Amino acid sequence: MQFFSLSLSVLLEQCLSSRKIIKQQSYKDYYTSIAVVFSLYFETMSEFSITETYLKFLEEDPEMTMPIAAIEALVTLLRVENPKTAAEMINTIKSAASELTQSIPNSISLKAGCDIFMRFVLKNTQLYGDWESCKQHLIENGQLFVSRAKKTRDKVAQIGVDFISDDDIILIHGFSRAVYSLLKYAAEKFIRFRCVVTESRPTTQGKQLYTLLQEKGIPVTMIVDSAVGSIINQVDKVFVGAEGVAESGGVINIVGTYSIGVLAKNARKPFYVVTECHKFVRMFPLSPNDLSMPGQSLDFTRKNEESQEILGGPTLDYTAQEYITALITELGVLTPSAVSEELIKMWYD
Amino acid sequence: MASSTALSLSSSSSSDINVTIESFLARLRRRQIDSPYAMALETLQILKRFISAARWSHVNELIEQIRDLANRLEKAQPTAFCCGNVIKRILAVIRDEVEEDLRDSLVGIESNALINTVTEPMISSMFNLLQKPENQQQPQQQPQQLQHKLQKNNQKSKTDFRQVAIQGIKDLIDEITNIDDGIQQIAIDLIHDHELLLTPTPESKTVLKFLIKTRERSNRTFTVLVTEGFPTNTSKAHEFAKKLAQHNIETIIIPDSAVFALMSRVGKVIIGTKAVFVNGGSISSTSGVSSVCECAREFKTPVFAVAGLYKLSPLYPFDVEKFVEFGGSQCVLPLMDPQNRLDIINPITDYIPPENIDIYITNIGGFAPSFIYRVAWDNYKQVDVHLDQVSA
Amino acid sequence: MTLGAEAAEGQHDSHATAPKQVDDKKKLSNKELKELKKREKAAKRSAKKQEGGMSIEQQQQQAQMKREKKEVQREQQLQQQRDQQKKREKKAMQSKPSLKKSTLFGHLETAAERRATLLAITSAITTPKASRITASGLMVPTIATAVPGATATTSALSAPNSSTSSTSSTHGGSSPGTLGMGLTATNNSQQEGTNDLAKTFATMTLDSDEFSLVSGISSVIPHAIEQSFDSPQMVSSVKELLMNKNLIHPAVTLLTSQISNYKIVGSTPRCIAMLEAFQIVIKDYQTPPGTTLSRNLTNYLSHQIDILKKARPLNVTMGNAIRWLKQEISLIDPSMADKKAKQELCEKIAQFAREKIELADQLIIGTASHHIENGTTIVAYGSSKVLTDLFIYNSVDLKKNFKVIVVDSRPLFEGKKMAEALRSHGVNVMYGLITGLDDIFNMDVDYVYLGAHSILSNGFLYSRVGTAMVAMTAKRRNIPVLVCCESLKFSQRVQLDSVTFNELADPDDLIYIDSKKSVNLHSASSTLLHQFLKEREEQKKKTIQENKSNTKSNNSSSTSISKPNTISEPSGKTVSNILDGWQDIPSLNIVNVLYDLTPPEYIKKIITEFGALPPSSVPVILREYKSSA
Repeated sequence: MQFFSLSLSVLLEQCLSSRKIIKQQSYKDYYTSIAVVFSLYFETMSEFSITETYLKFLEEDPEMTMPIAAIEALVTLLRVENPKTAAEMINTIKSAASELTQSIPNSISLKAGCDIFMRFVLKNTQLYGDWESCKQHLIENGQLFVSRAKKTRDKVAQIGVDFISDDDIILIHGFSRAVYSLLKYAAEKFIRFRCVVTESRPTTQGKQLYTLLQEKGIPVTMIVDSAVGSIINQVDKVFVGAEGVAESGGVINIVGTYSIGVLAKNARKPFYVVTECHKFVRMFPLSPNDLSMPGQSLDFTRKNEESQEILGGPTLDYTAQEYITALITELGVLTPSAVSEELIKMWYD
Repeated sequence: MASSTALSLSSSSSSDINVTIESFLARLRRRQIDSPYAMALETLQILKRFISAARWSHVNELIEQIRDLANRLEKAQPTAFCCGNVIKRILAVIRDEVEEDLRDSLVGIESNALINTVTEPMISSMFNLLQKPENQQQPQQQPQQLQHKLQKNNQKSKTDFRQVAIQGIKDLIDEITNIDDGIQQIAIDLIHDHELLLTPTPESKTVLKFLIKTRERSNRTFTVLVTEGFPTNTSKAHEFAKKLAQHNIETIIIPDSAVFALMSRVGKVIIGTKAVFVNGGSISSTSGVSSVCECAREFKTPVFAVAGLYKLSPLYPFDVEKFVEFGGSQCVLPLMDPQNRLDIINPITDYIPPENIDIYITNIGGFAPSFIYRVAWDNYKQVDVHLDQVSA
Repeated sequence: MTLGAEAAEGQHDSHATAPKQVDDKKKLSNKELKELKKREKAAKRSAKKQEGGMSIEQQQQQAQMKREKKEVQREQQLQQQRDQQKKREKKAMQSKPSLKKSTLFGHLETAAERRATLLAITSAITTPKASRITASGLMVPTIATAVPGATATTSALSAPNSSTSSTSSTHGGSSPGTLGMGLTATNNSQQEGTNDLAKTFATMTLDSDEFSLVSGISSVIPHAIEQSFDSPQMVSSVKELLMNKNLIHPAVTLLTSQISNYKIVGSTPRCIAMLEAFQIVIKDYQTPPGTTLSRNLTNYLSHQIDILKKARPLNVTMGNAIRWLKQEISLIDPSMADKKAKQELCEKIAQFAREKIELADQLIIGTASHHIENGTTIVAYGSSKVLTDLFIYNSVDLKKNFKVIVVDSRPLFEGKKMAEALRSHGVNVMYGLITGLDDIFNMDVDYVYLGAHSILSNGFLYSRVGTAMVAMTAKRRNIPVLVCCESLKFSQRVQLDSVTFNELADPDDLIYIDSKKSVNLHSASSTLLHQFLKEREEQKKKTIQENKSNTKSNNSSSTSISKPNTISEPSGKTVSNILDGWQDIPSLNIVNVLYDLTPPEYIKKIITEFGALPPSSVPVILREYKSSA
């Protein structure tokens, strides 16, 4: 038994490494092999950790966003558990989703993915009664969602490219794949623009984006987060990504987005949010720190050891819709009310 | 696309329509039609004749022909949005019918999944990600299936679509001619007794009719401040004011510069529009309106825009400068010293951003600017937004 | 209903109106019937046309027709209502004098009132020498040009001479008796206040001998005033002015006319012109026996200021200068010889103008130049002397390459003057109107420079109307707004909005659409001409009315009423505007305010000769200034 699991893990390793080496290998093959491995593995182990699977997915594919990883994890779960009835399936997904959201500290966009998945399953089982085919569809097409998510980003880029014009100076906060793909697309269309990237502390997202943009040959400069106020008058527009888009049309994103939003509104600069719409999440925060997440409240306890990280405070914040000029999504350029319309349509109809 | 149009229009009766279209295009290019209202009605009349004369073997051909016509009209005067708007709405009517037709013919043949996608095109938007892969291929299959179906009962569906399109045009003409009634019913309740109103768009017939009707129907007295809209619309402003005064409405003409001075007393600002975009912004055919609206925003004075639905354009104003027109210098500085010429900027239209408008009153109801996108997608199809692109 | 008939009706005695009303109704119903028939015919015609076309269209047409019919019926009802209302209004109009005041600015002195006063005074001054125009022709064709202030008036009066004589030859002779009667009737119906005024005029004209009011003939000038005066204060103030008319110095009269005709505009030029005029006045001044210069000169000057006020209300700069001058006069040693005192005063005035205006301007230009660099784009509004000098200095002397966008507005087009001045000095100038503000500010503007009329103690900028809009637009785009202003323009006054205190300019300035015919067309002279023409027309109508009532029966009134209208149209104006005769439409009003208030939050910086300061520091400077002056 032990040997079997060992050999499986070896096989898994091989699969993963081979994927890294041979990029051209089709996703389908790759994912089915992983899925097979996973399911075999978990069958033998008879214990499945949704969190670990989720993290694994994120780790394996840097292109994958959190909601997609969550969906993939849930698909894998279905494959492993292989529920026998519709009720069982729903219960399995429900408990896994709540487990996942609770175990991951930054759970906003993850929650969006779980929500969509849950809703999709519920809708299909309730409306059409063919939960079996639905399950089958989900299990079989795991890889499809990933490639679709990437296509979605291209669509966003196509829609958003009209917002970038020659001679623009664009301020970008945080690293978002959607924003990056939009900028890339614009550069490929020979639009000449310049970018200002914030450092996006405490993450290294600024550096990440800076390197990527420089590779693409886009003129770029990096500033510290606190310098936004002094350069805001020189930029033409602001682009940010989103961890999640709340029902009000506001966005939840890396900390600092709110302050940039306020500054942009004060300077009357357009503030665009570039996001895929699977990040729409059923939340309605009331203030920038109303996110029910650890680290949101200020911690005044005395730190004992000197080596301990003294930096505290939130890592995400919420930017209300009044600071946002428009949301650029694959569904088109949306106003805040369009976001709630989408969410309402998804949940009540 | 163009060649097919030419082919289908080669008969003698359609050369007649071609002449009409050409003359209409020429008048558009020369800007001889300035009222969007007349423009929309004339476009519809031409479209009606065009469809009556058009020949097609498949409905998609008809759609292509109409798109081609609309494209030519839009090219003739890119800032006259209503020509394109009305045609795009007819296109939407035809496309709806095509879908209906398709669904009817496919009932009982195809699986539930397809019906699902057809009946709920919008719901799939967020679920796109999780949709079954078959649906991806469906659109490609659809035309073939459709063609198949249509070939079977070719004769029937062909006459059908002509009828549908012409009925659609008639409905639209009806709607456009009755726009004022719809607007008045909603807007009358927005004015209280002894209110001071300001209108910076004296060229708007809708505003004029609205004010006159409000005075006559409801027993409210109110005062209207009219800005002059110098230099392009001053004569219209004066006529506008005179007409209002003759209808027993207290009217005060003020120069454009006095708007700020008086804004603190103004109860509401009423503007007419030339085009409304999906983001809730609009183009007015008087310059200075955006300043007035900005001023109103500064004083927290409500601004309401009156617009017929046909002015709603499915375009997004990415590049505002593309939509704002500039006039010549002769009406600003008629006698210029040829040695010392001055550069003159004379915009004749103005873009009003959505944040400076509080509400749109259309003939189908009042909407906040942030909701205009929904009204647009209820009336237009996304594929028809950009006519110069080849439809899928 | 034509206007002619209304006017005629208005002039009629009360017993005549009753049968007239009945007559009106009949006429109306006739008209309506005709209209209805016409519409039906048109509908039928169009229906016939459509018969050849498609059947669906026809149906639609029918539906349309039905709708139209209904609409016509509704309109009929409405028309009747409207007409009744109109009649009621007309009656109301008859009882009220026809002076127009807008509801918003009822508390302010209108241009018409000022003009009327001015006319009264100029006429009073010029009567001994000038001719008088009456409704039936020019009475004495001698034109005097002795008084410079009266030149405009008299030259204009000479213009209609020929036309008047020709018209009088055709119509004037028809029935002079009835004409006189009608006029006396109107005179009788005037209110007591104006009666009073007429008496003053009578006495005035008697005072100035040579002329007496000929009964049965109303002169143009008094009639214009009668129309405009309905408040007793106005009448008394005019009376007072008229009493003191002999005291008014010709230089002041000239200045008054120049200011009222917008020949001299801008607060600084007006102040300088006033100081120059005062220098002449002081030079010519003779202390009457029994008083001292320091006591009497102030009094004498206030008479001059009183008439100057009637040209346009005094601006803050002028007020400050006058206050200073009065203080200086009171400080003069009574024992000093008149000649020496006068000379000293004149020198002081010159010094004041140099120090407070010219030197201050130079200091301001020095400070403000720091902000202008190569490649800067600046927006300026209207015309300002300091700003013009500033830009020319930076372009010519400092050789900076920058762009100025001059924003202008109706009806004064002051910016045109400034743009041309700058252009002739080689400055890169762009010219736009206030309606294009949005597009102007889309052009990467770096600074907005504004001139000031005055700055109030609470930091508000009181300046040419439109300034606030420019400042607001700039503020909303985060473009700094700088105000260049001499401390002489600082005022102790506080004000919160532009409506409570303002200056109303002539509403007629706005009826001309063509920008070529701007202000200079409608000076006092042309209004006088208009008044004259109007009176003539009224008389013509009246005579025709009288004739008609004598010769024809009342039933056929519609044809004869249209006649005077057709005559009057081509007779008067060469340029017709849509709004000609706007005074006759009761609910139409034109408001032409001259200033507005810019809140301090829109202003980044005020540049004065004391340096740059925020708007909140205005009271500080005021304290400083008061102690130094």
